[in-house]
Amino acid sequence: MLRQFRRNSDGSAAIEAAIFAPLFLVIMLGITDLGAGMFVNMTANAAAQAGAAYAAINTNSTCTAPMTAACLSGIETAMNDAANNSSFCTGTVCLVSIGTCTDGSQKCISVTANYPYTPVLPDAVYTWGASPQTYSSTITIRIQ
Amino acid sequence: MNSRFQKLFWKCSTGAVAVTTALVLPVLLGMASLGVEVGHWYLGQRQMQGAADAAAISAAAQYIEDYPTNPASTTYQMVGVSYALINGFTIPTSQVCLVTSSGNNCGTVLALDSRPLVCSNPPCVVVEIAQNTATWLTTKASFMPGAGVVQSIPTPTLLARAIVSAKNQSQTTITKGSDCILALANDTAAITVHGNGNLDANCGVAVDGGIDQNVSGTAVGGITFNGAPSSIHVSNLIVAASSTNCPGAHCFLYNPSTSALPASEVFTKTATADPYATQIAALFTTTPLGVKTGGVAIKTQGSGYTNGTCTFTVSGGAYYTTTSSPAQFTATISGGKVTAITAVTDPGAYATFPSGSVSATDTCGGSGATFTLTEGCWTWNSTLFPVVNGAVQALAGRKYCSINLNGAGSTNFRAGTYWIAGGDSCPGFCVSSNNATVTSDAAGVTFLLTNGEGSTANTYATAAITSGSVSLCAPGTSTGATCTTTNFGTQCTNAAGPTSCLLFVQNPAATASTASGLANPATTNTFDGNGTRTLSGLIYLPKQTFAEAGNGPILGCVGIIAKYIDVGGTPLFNNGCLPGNGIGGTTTTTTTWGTPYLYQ
Repeated sequence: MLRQFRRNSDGSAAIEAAIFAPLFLVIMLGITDLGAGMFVNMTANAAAQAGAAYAAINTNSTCTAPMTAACLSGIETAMNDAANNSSFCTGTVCLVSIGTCTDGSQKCISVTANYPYTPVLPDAVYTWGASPQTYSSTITIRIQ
Repeated sequence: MNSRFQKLFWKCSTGAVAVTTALVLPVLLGMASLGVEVGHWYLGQRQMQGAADAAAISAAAQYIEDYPTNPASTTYQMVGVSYALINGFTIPTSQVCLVTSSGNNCGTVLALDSRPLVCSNPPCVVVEIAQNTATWLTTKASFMPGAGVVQSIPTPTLLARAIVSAKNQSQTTITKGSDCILALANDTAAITVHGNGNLDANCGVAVDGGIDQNVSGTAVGGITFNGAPSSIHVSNLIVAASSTNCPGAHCFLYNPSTSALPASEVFTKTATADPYATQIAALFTTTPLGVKTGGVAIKTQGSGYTNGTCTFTVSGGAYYTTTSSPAQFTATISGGKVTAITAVTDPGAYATFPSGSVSATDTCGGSGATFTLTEGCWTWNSTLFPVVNGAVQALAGRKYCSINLNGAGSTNFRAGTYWIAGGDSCPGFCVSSNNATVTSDAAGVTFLLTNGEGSTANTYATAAITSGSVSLCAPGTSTGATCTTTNFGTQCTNAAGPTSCLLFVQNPAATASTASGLANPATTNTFDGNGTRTLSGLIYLPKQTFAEAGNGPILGCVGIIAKYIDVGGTPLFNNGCLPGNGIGGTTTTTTTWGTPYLYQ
């Protein structure tokens, strides 16, 4: 009986497929996660750039130190537009600060987009990742 | 053996999936890794561009800060490098460079990235970030689909460039003055209102207290009232002295005219400078030269001229302006020869006067006559001018001894500038007949009162309008086809040339009035007249006295700058529409940050 089972090759393809399928699945979903993560990272980067550009352009008008509500609102609108998502800047996703620069100059603007991302595969697969993963992009510009 | 093994090999399906996997997996992994790499390049490129933009704006900020004190500073390069690092990329200082209108120091940048440097508004700060993608590679090689062989993954160099204009913007803010009357004297009676006089002005009145004329000591200056009914009705009052000298019984608001001038419209200790000193001095640097009345002498009589009266047009010389015309005179011909000069019908206007033996063209067929011309002012003679619709048409652009309208009749001043060089039978610009009607073309006239000619060369011409109906418009003030009591205009177009908005302008070197009121008749300029008049433009008498004793409104853009102002009549002025910023206006220029403009 056992010998017959060993010798019988019927259904061996199914068994082999059953062994390799999870491996394929992990690879495929891993590629998907990498691509989607890159997209999210680029979105966060684009949003941070757009926010910083808004602040730089309006440095003579609304964007003065200390931070004004009008400037913050304009930056968040610019970031939402860049992310193509009208509710991109919710919670603590978009962080903006105007203050003294690290090199001692009077006015620096720093715009950060912390965009959370939940991969398809469980976090445990990505041992380097926190839960949930967050892609962060910061642009710091000296404007005076 | 061989064939049997082969047959068995192809027939046996044992381990087929393992074999398939072994073959397909590397291809799949290779393609996946290539896809990941390419995706990574795009992500990296975006991050580089963001960092380049941030670094370029930051470097431009430093450049703008340094420029006023040290235009050659290269600190902006350090800042560019520093902010590229803050935003995640390390670059050498040579990749932060500057494009100016005369060149650039971007050799390294152009060697890396041959795209042209677009900078339409120099100077521009350029930041170039370059990354070799090999540094990011997770795998160095991959199966290439189709080729079936292992190939190395391409590693292009990614480039991101940001160009930011670092041009400062200057913003000029012009505050229009609200005043139309300015008295410059350092005298408590800089403005005198007497008798039933009422200075009624829909504008501010300023008294400079001598500050502008560099009078040492304390600035005094204000308004003196002689006579219980004398009053002013003005929009506001500004004096350099500590007190306006303007009691409530005499000082009223223009509108409503029954209200006393409120304290909020009275300003003390505020000097008001003459804003036109420089502009007006330039008008008197050169005066046109012309043939004086009786200034033609016959040198050679010539021959072949038709007997009678002949008109000659002078040849030679250089015109005062390109539009000037040559001098003309009439002469009597007898026996085919020029025997006598009848009149100088046009003195011409020359920068270089025709000298020596001067020839002239004629319409009488002769030749050979030459003349000697004498330069000087031209005496007003209304019979020499053309008459249109019953009005004598005065010639503009000429130098007159005086303009003496002492008879009845209409005189229209054609558009242009009239130089009055000292006075002869009258002291300058005179209208003394009650039945005289004086008008100007709508394009506007300017009367320049100066000296050097006439009966006494040292005397400066003055204005003496003692009666008559006067409607005169300065260039840029009239809105209609003629300057009348309806087309005087309430705005002045400054674009009408250097004499825009200027009506009567006296040479600032003129003999000064030394006392208020009418105490100095020789230096008093009178602007009386009948009923409603139009004097549209600035009347500028910085050293002398402006006197007004006529009754009725004075229409147009009336502005008055004089050392002393004396009002015995009841003139009613509109707000002055004056050249430049008007009286009491300011121009402030502030340099502001240019809006950072990203080109690439």
